[in-house]
Amino acid sequence: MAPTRKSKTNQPPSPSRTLILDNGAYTIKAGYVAGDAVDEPRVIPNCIARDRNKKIYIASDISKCPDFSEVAFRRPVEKGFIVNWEAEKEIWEHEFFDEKAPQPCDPSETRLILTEPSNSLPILQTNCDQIVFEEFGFASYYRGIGPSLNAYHDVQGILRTPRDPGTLAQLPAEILLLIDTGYSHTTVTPLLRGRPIHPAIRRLDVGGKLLTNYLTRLLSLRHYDMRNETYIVNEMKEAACYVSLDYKGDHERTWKGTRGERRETYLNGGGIAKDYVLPDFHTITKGIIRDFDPLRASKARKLAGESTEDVLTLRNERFCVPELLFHPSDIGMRQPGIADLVMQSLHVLPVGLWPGLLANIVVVGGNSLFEGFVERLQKEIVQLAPDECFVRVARPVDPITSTWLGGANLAKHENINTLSVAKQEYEEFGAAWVARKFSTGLEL
Amino acid sequence: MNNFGVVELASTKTTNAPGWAYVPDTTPHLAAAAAAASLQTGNRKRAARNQAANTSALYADADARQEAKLRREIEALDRDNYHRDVSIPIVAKSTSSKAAVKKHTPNVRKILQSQKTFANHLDDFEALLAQEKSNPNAASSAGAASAAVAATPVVKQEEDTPMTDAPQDAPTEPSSSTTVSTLLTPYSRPDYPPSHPQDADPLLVSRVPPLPTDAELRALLAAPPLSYTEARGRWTAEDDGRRYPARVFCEVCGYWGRVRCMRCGARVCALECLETHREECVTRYGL
Repeated sequence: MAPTRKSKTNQPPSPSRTLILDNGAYTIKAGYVAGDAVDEPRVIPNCIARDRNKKIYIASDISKCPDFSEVAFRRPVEKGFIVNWEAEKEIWEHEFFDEKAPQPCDPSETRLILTEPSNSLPILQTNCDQIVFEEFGFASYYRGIGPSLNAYHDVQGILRTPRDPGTLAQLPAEILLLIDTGYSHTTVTPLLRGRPIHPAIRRLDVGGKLLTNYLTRLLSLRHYDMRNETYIVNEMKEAACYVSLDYKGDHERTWKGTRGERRETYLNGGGIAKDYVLPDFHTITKGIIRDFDPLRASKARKLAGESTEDVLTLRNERFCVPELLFHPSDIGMRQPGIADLVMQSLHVLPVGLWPGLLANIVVVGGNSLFEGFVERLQKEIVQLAPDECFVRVARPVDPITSTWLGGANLAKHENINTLSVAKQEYEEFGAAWVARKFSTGLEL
Repeated sequence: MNNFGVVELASTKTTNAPGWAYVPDTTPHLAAAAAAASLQTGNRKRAARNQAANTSALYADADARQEAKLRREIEALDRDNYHRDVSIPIVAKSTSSKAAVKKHTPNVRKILQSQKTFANHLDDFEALLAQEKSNPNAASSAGAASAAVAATPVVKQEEDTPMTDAPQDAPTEPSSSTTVSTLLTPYSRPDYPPSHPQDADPLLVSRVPPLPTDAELRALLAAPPLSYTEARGRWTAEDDGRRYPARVFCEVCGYWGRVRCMRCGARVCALECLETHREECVTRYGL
């Protein structure tokens, strides 16, 4: 089981530059680490997009797109796994290997740290290794589970543990329960000294994509047909949605009432309703969110030609959409919510580890940016966890690049030399050996 | 093996078939069950309902049609472009000076040309697993269900191993509070928390569950990853009694679904939404 030690003897010197790729389904987070110098990671859309004039934009080119209405996307990453290498190669070449690439890279002198989701399929891992070495020819390579890179952070700093000043953070963190809620799914990963406890990893198939599509469906039923406007709806979701701390109460405050009745809270918005001005890409290029104003947004004014803007009034859509993370059964999915998922994961582990894990929960990923997400999650976990356990949930400053930054810390850490595989080793021992080495990970 | 006289010829010509994949063969078993059920009841609808009885997610009384509709809707939510299928081809680069020179290795060419989706790969993998189990009989070939069901016992085993180990190890090292674990380091801030005169009071003393031993931790960390389907969070059997019933919502406005349309069974909140719904219901089902 243990990897052979003979690889040590003929290990070539490690490359001085490391490219860290957090290859998410929605965005790639990429940047270099050379010695102690850490770049600011770039967030690159991981897609090939086509606007309604049939013009095609690859990855970061999409920022040049003037009109995002009816943009269609092709995404090489499905469910978090790189499935379509034809498109992914196109994007990587556009970003890293072409002459005019914004982050030029010479693979033969670079080490690659690439993330993957947990519980991958062996065939996809093999494809990945083959492309990295045979097509791009990186000098050295480590493919690791994305959530586990977050252990290479000052976790106690994120959790704001009171400490003596000058205490050095232990890398990797000793014990950590990481919740990664991204575009494709939400995973719960217990980590011990930077190593995932595989049997306890659990996944919930609710991610940002599903939430955006759900909002699209609600809006198309109730307001305008937004079914081709994924991009616009996604912006709306990011701007307007929040996780409710009082779901029932918020529902009462947004309900119009029975027939003929118009409740006070409905008419004045109840502090929840918001107006969202849709972009028309002539005068407004990005949607604007503002407080609900019953006088301003009336359809009559629009008809009278006094106002040219399209306004959507968002009421219970604002909190019903992220609610799916906590209650997937609301749309009929037979899966537990995040808090239950955490408990399911803990039930696999010995009780002795529970206090440590519950007191060190870190949330990363784009969905954690919803207002109220961390508070709600903490509240729900406290209700489910044993009373004696102290529950702390925290979110790093930037949850989207957190995994990347962890990868950057790993690149500076000595562990990477034992984890990574050199190109010569791949050629000598083959793909199966590499796959086994990556799945074994660090020894303790 | 006697293959009824059919000899498979090796062919040198291989074709690249896009949406082609191995899938676990589930048909005979399920079809037989369905046929038996429909024979017994003489009612296809009821047979279908019986089959779906344990999968009804949202409504306790959902019939097969509603069930299928729900499933379709959830699948629709999982698409990159809601509502439409798009195929955006990769444009060949005009200045392909470097690309033209570079030749792909056979492996890479195969990977690049593959049009498989994740679902195809997953089916392949599960078919492979099913094949490895090599119990082609009806007992185990509950098919896709077996993959899912087989998943849970595996999880259970993982769950059990550390639990059974614990009592064996505990008596051997009762003084383990003094033996230092190499994996879990104790909290080392001196004089914190400050001691209190009543710390030893049996009513106030705090009990911490014993930490697992190093051997247990190593076993946990060395355990292999679960497969993709096994790692999916699911409702467990012991939760079935404790779980709150699923919440239902108004199909028109999203408030609680308190009233049900007599004609189609859709949920709405009150009369106003019911009228809105009726208009749609009439166009769909007639008066």
